[in-house]
Amino acid sequence: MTSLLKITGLKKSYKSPDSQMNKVIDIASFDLAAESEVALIGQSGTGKSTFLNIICGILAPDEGEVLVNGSSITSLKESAKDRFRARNIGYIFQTFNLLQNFTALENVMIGMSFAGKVDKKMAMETLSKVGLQDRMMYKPAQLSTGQQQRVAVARALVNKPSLVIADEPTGNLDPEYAKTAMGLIRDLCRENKAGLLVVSHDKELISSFDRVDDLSKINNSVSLL
Amino acid sequence: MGSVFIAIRSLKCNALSTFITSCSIALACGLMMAVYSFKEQARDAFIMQDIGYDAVVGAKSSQLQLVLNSIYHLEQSPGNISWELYKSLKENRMVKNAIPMVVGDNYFGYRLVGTTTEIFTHKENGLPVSKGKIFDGSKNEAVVGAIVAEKTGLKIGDKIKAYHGLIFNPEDMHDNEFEIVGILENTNTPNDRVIWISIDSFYRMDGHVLRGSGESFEAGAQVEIPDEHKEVSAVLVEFRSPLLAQRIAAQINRGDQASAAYPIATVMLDLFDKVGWVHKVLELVSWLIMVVAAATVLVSIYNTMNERRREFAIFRSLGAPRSRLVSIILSQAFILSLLGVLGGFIFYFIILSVAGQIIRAQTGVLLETFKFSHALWFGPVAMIIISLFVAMIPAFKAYRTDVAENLKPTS
Repeated sequence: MTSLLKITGLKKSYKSPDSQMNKVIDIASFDLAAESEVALIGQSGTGKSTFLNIICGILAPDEGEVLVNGSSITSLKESAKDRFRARNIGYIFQTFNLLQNFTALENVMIGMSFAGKVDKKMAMETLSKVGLQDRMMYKPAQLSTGQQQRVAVARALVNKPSLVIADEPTGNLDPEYAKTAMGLIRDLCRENKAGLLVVSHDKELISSFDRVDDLSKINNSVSLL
Repeated sequence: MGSVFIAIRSLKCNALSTFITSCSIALACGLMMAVYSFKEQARDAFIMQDIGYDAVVGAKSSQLQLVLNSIYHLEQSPGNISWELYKSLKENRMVKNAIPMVVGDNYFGYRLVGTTTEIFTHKENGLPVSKGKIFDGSKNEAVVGAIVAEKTGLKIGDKIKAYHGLIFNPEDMHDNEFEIVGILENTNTPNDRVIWISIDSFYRMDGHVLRGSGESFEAGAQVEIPDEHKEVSAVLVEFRSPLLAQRIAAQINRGDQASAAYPIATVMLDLFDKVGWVHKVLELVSWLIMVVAAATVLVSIYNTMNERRREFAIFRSLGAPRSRLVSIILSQAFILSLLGVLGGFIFYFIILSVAGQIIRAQTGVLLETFKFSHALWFGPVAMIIISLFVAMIPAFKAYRTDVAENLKPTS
């Protein structure tokens, strides 16, 4: 199977308030095959969010390379990195990070606009797929937590990215709905033939994944924290 | 889903702040346009307008006082000159036309000017009568300017009594009655504020003492007035050629009998140059107000930056380049200032209409509210540019948004 995500020699340090450099990420290698699903676990402080932000190109590593679909996101110029992220990576946040002043439909369409292809029909279809056909014109504050999460899923998947990253996607949902929500994300990823990298603490949710990686083990910096 | 759409949404979500900021821009821009337009139009009205006469000859005084008194019907008369001087001007072959004027009375503040019928019948510059006829030089008849008719309600057939002096005092009423026989067309000149009577009837008003000969002479109703007793406040002179005009004006000014204000436009230009600093101060103030208004754009956008950091971080996480955040902020400033300058045109028209009414009532000169002025384009353009310039500060802040930091869960 072809590689969707290939990481080598990744390192990231932060300067602490006492001017010491704290190594947060030190990962020799990490791979994710196309259309595969991987759950990433790890205790708080193991650098999960930093790791995901580097994969997305939101943060730049100190060293190492991140290849997504064969393209080195770490060596792209910032504007090219932004474009690449918009077209190839879908990001689902734990707190959904919806735009509060915009309707559900606009939230999805704004996601499309940065990828350079606004298609209202497709945005509406995607929202319908997540069961929000009658809530498209609602603003986030007018939606339930579950509905907000579905808007976030629709926004992350509407550009048909090859890689979907979900950071604690069910962390804010009640356990009963969490399973359904995760099922929805996985179904849509499969439908879009997208690879899925999920960070979660939910043991039940993790148990449904064939591959589960422990960041505490692959991140050599963890012992130093 | 461009930057403009996102900017408009943000402005809508902060509607009150948007409204207040737009209003402050509108006021500043309207004031700025009005100051410049007012300056241009006042200059045009007082300097560029063809008065129809080349010079004003009157008693020894400043040329400005002569012009203000005789052409703009403002200020006190500097004194009188002899009828003989008027006659010599009238009979001078180099003078095309000379019209005498006497002043000294008013009707509820509007000046009565005694003159000859030439003021109406002059081929090029005669004052046009819209209703009735011009006065009969031998009768107590009056022709009123358009503003006088409009403000006092005087109509043909009405009878009025004049008040002594140029400032209205109800206790100084003359006994003589004048019948209104004509109403002038609106000329948008100071002449609209004048009541015109014959020079003869002016001399014969009770209490008017002629001192042309050096002795006091009070003319009765039917008594012939010898020329030696007559005096005039000023003579409006039209020369046959500018070269001759200069020579005659210089000759008059060299003598000790009279002054000649020539050319009239230059005299007014001197006045505008003297009071030019007032305009400069007003211009400076209007620019400062524009800068303050632009600062409100900065404040209104900057104040939302803290709550919008997360929004910007989300945009970036969705793939928006940094330049998009800058363009959102600049679009917001542009729309705010555009709304403001549109409102500015409303304020401009209000300011100019009100100022125009005051100036017309005081001087008879009309400012045209809808007349094109360069300020009508450079004011709004300057306002938008200044707003965009100050918006660079929040735009830079947006540019530097720390995505990872601002995407962290808040609770």
